[in-house]
Amino acid sequence: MKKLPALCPSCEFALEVSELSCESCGTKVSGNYSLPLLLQLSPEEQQFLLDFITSSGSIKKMAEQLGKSYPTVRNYLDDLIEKINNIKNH
Amino acid sequence: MNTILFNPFERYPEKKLLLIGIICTSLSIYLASILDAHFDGAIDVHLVNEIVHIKSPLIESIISIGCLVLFIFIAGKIYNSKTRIIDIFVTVLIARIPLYLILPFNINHYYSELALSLAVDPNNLQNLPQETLLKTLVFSLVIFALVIWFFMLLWNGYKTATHAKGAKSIVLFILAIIIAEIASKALLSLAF
Repeated sequence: MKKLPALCPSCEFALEVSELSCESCGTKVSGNYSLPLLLQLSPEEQQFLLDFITSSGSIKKMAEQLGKSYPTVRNYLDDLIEKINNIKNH
Repeated sequence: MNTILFNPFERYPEKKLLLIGIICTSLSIYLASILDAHFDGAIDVHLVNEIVHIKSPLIESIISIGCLVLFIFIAGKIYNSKTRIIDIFVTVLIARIPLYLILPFNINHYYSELALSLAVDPNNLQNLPQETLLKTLVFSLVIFALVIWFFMLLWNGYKTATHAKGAKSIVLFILAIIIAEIASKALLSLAF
């Protein structure tokens, strides 16, 4: 599966969607659309969030799944919350 | 391997670490009574040339561990309100394991007798046989490495438990250790 780039490989500025197309009829929509917040996270961070939701938001369960300790997972989550807040405030 | 030796707090669940910590602490109290050692301070181990009753290392361990846990936990709470006391307790128990490895140096009072002879006459160092001098040097270096290992474990555990970053967390950590050492010394002087 191709990895969706969120940052410009040249200047590292946030990329925007400029074209969307319909696979069925070939219609194309052009414009400038911001990437949704979740897509601006790295694939690992997106996976972490999905795992967090599917484990009912339990850090303890997440720690067991990832083979990490409770504070390590909580620290990772805190870093992720900080990153999301930074993206939102940007 | 690095994780197990220097930062087990990153990977292993607190229940497992707590069990290991309690077993090692209990064993250290027993060994201190056999090999004659005192834990007379939050970050102290002293090998002595006298008979030590098990009651001494037991009370000393409770006070030393208690002071370290209390003051590092306060520092952690000031830095990050999410800090849990169980993580600090586990950190202190596990970090002290390298200190317990100093105890075998006093088998047959070897280290304490050597230290005593040097304390009485510092010039005795020149009169020591070369083999004893070499052993003293190696033992001192090993003990120094174990103390460094203790501080590394203590810092890594604190860092994981509090999500420590930057100068403020370092200052709080150092202050907590200094206050724990002073408080434990004061409490121990009252206890004995």
